[in-house]
Amino acid sequence: MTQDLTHCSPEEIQSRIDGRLSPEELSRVDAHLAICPACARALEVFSRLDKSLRSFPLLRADASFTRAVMSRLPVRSAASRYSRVLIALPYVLALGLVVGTMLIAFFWSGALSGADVAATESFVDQGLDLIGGGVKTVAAGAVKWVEPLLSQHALNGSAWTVVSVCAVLVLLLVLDKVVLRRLFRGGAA
Amino acid sequence: MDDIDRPIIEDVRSGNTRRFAEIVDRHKDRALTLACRLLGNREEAEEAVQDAFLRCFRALERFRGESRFSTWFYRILYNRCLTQLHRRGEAEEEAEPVDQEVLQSVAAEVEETSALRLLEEREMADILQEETDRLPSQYRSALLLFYVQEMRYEEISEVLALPMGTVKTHLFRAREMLKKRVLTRIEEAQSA
Repeated sequence: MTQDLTHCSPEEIQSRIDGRLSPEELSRVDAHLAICPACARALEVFSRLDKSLRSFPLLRADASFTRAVMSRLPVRSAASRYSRVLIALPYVLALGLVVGTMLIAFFWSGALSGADVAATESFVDQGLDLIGGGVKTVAAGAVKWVEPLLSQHALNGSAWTVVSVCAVLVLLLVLDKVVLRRLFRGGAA
Repeated sequence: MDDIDRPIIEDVRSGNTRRFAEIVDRHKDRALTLACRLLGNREEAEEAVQDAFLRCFRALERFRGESRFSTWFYRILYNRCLTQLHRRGEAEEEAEPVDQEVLQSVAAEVEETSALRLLEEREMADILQEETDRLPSQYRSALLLFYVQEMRYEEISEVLALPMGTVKTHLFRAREMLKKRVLTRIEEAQSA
């Protein structure tokens, strides 16, 4: 058996202390350390430096430190999935209402016959008769305005789609910006 | 990966925000030690650690658990300290080039390192702390994460956003610089 007379490098000695040598490297380094007083002394010195560094004193935060951090936490952005759902719910419902109206209008505008329109007008007229004359005048004006919309050819499906998309955009624009930011960003660091 | 903070983090994310206090309690001392050693000022360090906890809380939804929570948190803290050092113009300091002679062989330095063996434990610790504070920030960071935070090379690499080879080199050079500086201090004391 031959003795390894090559001195250990400082890196090898440090890796020996850190436990990061492979089994082969470990046996070679240990074999050398056993026969080389210089490297053995170096190992001792490195170990001492290592030990001193590991015993670096920890600073102690004040007892009030945790309270100070907790008092600064943003209350409403508690990152709760449930709270997010609650915040989102009214907007989801509003969006659903707009989309639902769009779909109903789309199919209705294509399905109404002239007789349906006349029946609707008659029903509205009967209802209006029960209300005072002044209201009736106003309502009759409104019916006249609505009438073309109820007509089969006044608005086709594409036009209803455009109107509905515009309605959604307006709805989004009037939403609270803070709420939207919270919903989509969740409070970035 | 075994992460003792994980159940608490999940609880906090589900809305039980009060449990975040347990996270703060668990990490505040080590975090403060790291920040104080990096910034060299306790007041600034406390502010940095508080900020890091707040940023961490706000960003909890983005924590995917691919690494340990502590690694992720210390990365936030390290970046916060680095920003502070940048403001002071200290983060750009160049690391001293390593003395190649030091890297060659242990045998040549055995005589001088024997002086280290004579140093009192307490004295050694004091000198090491002072000299650690004087290391270039990148070496100091790697050294503190390894010894104070007891992180593995892989975790340090993640916190510092450096390749693992660079982390090893920084650690090695930090130790070598410390050793040389401690020896210089001993020589100065002996000649005084």
